[in-house]
Amino acid sequence: MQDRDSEIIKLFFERSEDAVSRAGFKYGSYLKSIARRMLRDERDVEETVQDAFLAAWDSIPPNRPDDLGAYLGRLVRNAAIDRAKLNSRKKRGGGEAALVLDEIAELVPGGTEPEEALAGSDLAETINGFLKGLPQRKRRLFVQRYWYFMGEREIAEENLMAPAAVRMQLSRTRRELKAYLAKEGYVYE
Amino acid sequence: MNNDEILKAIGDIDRSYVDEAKPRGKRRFVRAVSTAAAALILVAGLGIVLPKIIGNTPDDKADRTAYATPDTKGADGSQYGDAKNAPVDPPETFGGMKGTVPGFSISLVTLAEAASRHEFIAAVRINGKADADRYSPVDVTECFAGSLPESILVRFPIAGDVIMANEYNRTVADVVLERGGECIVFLDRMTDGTDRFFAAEIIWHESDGSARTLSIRDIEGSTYSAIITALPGVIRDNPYKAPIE
Repeated sequence: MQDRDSEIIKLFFERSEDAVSRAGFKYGSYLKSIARRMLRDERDVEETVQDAFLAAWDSIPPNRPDDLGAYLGRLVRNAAIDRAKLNSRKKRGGGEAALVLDEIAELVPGGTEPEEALAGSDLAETINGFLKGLPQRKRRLFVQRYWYFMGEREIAEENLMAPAAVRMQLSRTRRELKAYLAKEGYVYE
Repeated sequence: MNNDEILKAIGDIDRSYVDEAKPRGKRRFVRAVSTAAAALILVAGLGIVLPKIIGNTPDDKADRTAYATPDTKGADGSQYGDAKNAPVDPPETFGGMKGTVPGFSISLVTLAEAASRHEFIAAVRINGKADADRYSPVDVTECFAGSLPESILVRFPIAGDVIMANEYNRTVADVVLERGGECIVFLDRMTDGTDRFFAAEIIWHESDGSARTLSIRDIEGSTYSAIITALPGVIRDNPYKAPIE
């Protein structure tokens, strides 16, 4: 039987190394599935998951996540983004994440950074505000692409859409997000 | 701000949005094979109500199908279609899986009925099946306001056009999406090169027996097969040659 999150988090707080092994037993497959979407090389996947557990070890305590799965998912996602970016610089296959990074680059102006740019957590709040205003279907497509890093074809199958329609919707949503971020002072048009 | 900062910030979005978008393989399967095919596979597999399903096949009601005729007058007084072909029967519902598995059903209505019952109507073109893999098979190409004010009235696509995904009419589609059109007008290209069109309300049936009319927002981008298999046979097999200018 799997441990409850509260028991695993307690082990983290006690600085017991069992915390990592039990978290790995419970969430290892889930975390690898996230990393695999973003990275092609299985070694990168393994290392990224290990990086995420290390980051969890370093951050719990002081953090006490309400949802350990989501917390670890976010850590592995961020670790995979860093690795994909590194791979991209080294001209190695960055998987879906490299494509997504290119798409997101549309939102970012070259050069100047806005003085009003806020901290990362505020940016997430701003994006939450944007997502709140989207129709559910459109929001789901966006999150599936940019949170789950699903490929266009996979999203299309999931939502009974044609891949071209997915691409079109995502392109439109990116434009809307760019305008929204500009309105909030993040990006120069 | 750089692109990975944005991506990482997306990683911190509200958990409810992440849960909402969580891929669900089982649901995907049910939806992917929804419509008549799903009803046949799932219900026949259980061996329960097959006769009922057979009794609800499109052909059974073919003779009573209400073709939607393009009898809507444009703002400039021009007339689309031929009023003589106006249906005499009330709208019929086809292919539904009420109370069994989720799926589409189609309720055919005339354009005039559609105009009176819905604030906005979207016209879509169903491209040929061969295009389905390459192009968005159901493209919202035009929209009609129920009251047909001049500012919104638009025309049917010109015969001979092939509306491709990259020629998607975003302006019109945005209007439709924003206002939540509920009724769609299909324009279907036949193998002989003729076009035909009809109006339909698309109804989604939940497994608990409840049903709701899908908006354009729900249906936009759905695959050709998902829509076309839900259509009554009479629509597929009996082209109506629409006088499209």
